[in-house]
Amino acid sequence: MSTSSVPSLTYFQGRGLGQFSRVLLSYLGIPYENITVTEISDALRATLPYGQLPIYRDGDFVLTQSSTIARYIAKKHNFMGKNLEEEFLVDQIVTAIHADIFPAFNNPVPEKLQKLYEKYFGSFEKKLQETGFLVGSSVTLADLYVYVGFDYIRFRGEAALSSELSDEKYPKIAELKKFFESNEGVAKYIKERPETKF
Amino acid sequence: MTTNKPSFSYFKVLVLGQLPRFTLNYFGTDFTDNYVESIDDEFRKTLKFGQLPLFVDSDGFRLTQTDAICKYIAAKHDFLGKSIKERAIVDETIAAVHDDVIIPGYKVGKGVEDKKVIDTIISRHFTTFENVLAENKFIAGGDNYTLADLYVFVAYHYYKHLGHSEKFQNKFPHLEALQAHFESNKGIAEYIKNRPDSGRGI
Repeated sequence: MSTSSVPSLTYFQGRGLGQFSRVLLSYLGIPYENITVTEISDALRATLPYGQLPIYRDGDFVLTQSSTIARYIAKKHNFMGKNLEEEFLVDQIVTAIHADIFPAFNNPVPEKLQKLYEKYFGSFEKKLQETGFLVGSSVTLADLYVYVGFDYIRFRGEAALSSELSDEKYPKIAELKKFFESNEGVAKYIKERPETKF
Repeated sequence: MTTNKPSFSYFKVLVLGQLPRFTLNYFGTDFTDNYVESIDDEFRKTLKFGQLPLFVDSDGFRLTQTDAICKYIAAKHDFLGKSIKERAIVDETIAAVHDDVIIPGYKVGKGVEDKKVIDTIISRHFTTFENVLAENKFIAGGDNYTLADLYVFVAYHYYKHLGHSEKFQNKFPHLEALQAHFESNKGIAEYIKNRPDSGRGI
């Protein structure tokens, strides 16, 4: 367990579900300890509320569930929209990525996956073309989630039908990717993260 | 829609629709509850991601995704916790219930997931919920009920509905008390009594 005064995020070395918060913390310029594990030992599991990673520690406050961690950090840094309606439109997109898209490419059925990408990323692309942001009039966690989700599918390669997500097909999401990757913290995180399969 | 009443649309099966339905009924919300048989092409075009559930508030604000809907309703009723940390614990519980309890339970009920998963969920998740309630009285650790308590109640209620009651016997007194608390709520009692049977057991 970390004794550091900065928050810590514990997850496997791979990107997986840990990447959303890693990218978010990096984007917001929040110093944190990035703890990676190769497996969940019995000793570690005993400290996890539901026996799962990622886990985020902020002082003596402990939090699990990847989307919850991201929303907590975003909420603390005014990155969840400007009002109640915006906050839950952000939430709607975060949940869509986490609950509908991510599980689908773990057991991919190509035709289903293709339709899923068209439905979701098509909707995101359209919204970005119309207003420049996924929710409201500024960048929020929704934009970051779509960027990370999009980027991760492409990283996973053809097993995740990554060729469906081309810059040509989704130019605005490609711009979103450029926007986040030009951020100093995100650029540094990308440069330093290890090469992994997942 | 010319009415100013909020509306909620989902199928007859409980699964994900029951969470917003329980939430709305708990607060005694006067809303139009649409039990949808199927999503035709015309209707699908109006849905953000082509999916249900859909909630339309009285001012026309539209929201999809089960948890987003429940949290939005809860936020309007100060039912998400009193601090950013309490709220995060509520969120953590919601994610755990949705992803790791309701969905696998539904899949087992549908026959597409191994039944053994139920024992793991009961020993891991329901035991955690029971221990938290024994220690704190409320799931999010504050001084009152929140959406986290409601979600845990719905999960417990749903697993009994799915036929797993015997696995709970005498093991979870605090979850039993939580169930009794929510089922004594007038709106919830009415909903349980009047909801249609999907005929599919899920």
